[in-house]
Amino acid sequence: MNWGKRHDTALHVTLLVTLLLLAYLSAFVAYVPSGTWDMGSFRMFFYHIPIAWTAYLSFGIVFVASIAFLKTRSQKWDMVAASSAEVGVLLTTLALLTGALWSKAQNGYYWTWDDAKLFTTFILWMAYVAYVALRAGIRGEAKARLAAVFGIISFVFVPLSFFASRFMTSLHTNLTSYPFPRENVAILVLGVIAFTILFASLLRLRLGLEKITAQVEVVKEGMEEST
Amino acid sequence: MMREAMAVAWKDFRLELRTRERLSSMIIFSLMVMVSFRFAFSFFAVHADDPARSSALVPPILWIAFFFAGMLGLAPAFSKETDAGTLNGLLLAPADRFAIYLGKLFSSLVFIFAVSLSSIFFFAIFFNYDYAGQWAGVIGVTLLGTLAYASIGVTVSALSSTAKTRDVLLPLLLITVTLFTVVVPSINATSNILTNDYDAAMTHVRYVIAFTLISFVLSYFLFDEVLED
Repeated sequence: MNWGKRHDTALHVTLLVTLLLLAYLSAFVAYVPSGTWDMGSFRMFFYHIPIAWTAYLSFGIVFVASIAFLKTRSQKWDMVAASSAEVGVLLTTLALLTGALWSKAQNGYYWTWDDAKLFTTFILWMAYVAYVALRAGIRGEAKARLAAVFGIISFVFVPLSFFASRFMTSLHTNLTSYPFPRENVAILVLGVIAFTILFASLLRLRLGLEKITAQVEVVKEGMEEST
Repeated sequence: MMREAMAVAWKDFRLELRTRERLSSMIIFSLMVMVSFRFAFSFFAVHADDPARSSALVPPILWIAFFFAGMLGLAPAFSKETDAGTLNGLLLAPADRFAIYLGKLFSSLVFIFAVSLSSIFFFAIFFNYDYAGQWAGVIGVTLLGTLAYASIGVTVSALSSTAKTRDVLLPLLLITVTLFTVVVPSINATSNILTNDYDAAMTHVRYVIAFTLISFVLSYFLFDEVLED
């Protein structure tokens, strides 16, 4: 990946602009229905859904990278899977947090076990925390291979969470009854773009860290040999 | 394939006959779980004259006992082989890796199911509970649930057996993978059976069967990679 500094700067500027735009539009332009909807907390919608979408995206990347690693045995794919999983755990945590805060304002409670989408997302979160723990627990060349296997197994929970509201009862089922005038759709799309860029830049940073760590390992081995 | 799988399972049974440590520790553990629960719930005053109350306790207590005893049953399936250095011998055997999986699955399932049966029995004694006409349904769900549990558990056990932190890792991985896919639906199905609601039980049973099939497919494709040396 030969990106160069200029591209990085462009990425970060775009990210900043889209996030600020999202903050402005969701605060002042979005249509917030009166009545059943809590006025202030409804704006969480424009953050909660894009964050959840990028969380699914990151675990999708773990899945694809895990398969690619088992096929090619290239360390590059293992690094992608490891980085994407960690960013995904962060994003899932944020999705759970924004959802909990929104629910507190709208429904009066942070958490419920009656919501299928919520508990399946919680399992999803646990599965990738376990993935990170598995990586931390294994040393040597087996690490990448075993992590890839669990990266594929834990992907089972992604469709389970994604489609949860379609086949089980859920607060999220009434998504179609959300107020969807044109400006809200546009802001939601902007939110998805903003958080996808955020995800991409976080993934790039995390990947860079992974590469440096690998280089340090090589240097360490070299030093041990020379002494 | 089946012949090799049975050979692997038979090896485990013979080892168990000689040492008797896996099954005995699991059974004592499930006995302890039942006794602890009986003391923990003593304020409930569970008695035969109030069967509705005890019925509500049956599924969760049974499944917590199955879950943890099952964990004790799955842990040595591969860690014992790694520790004794016999895993390489197993891998050198002219058999498909999936046959090793099936063999380990069969031996683990026999252990876990046997211990589950003993838990069902201990529950009836300590909680003074009568399963009445439903014992067949309870045992049926138990067999199905433990099969689902072991089908992914064997793969997870193999996965964590080489890790330095495997004693923590196996419970962590097993809880995440099986809690909502196997344990919770099985608890729901058992509750429904105890209240004679067989239709509702079937929806949960279908869910468990679907997960069992998924974990078979995953293990079929991934078990090679787990045991590669």
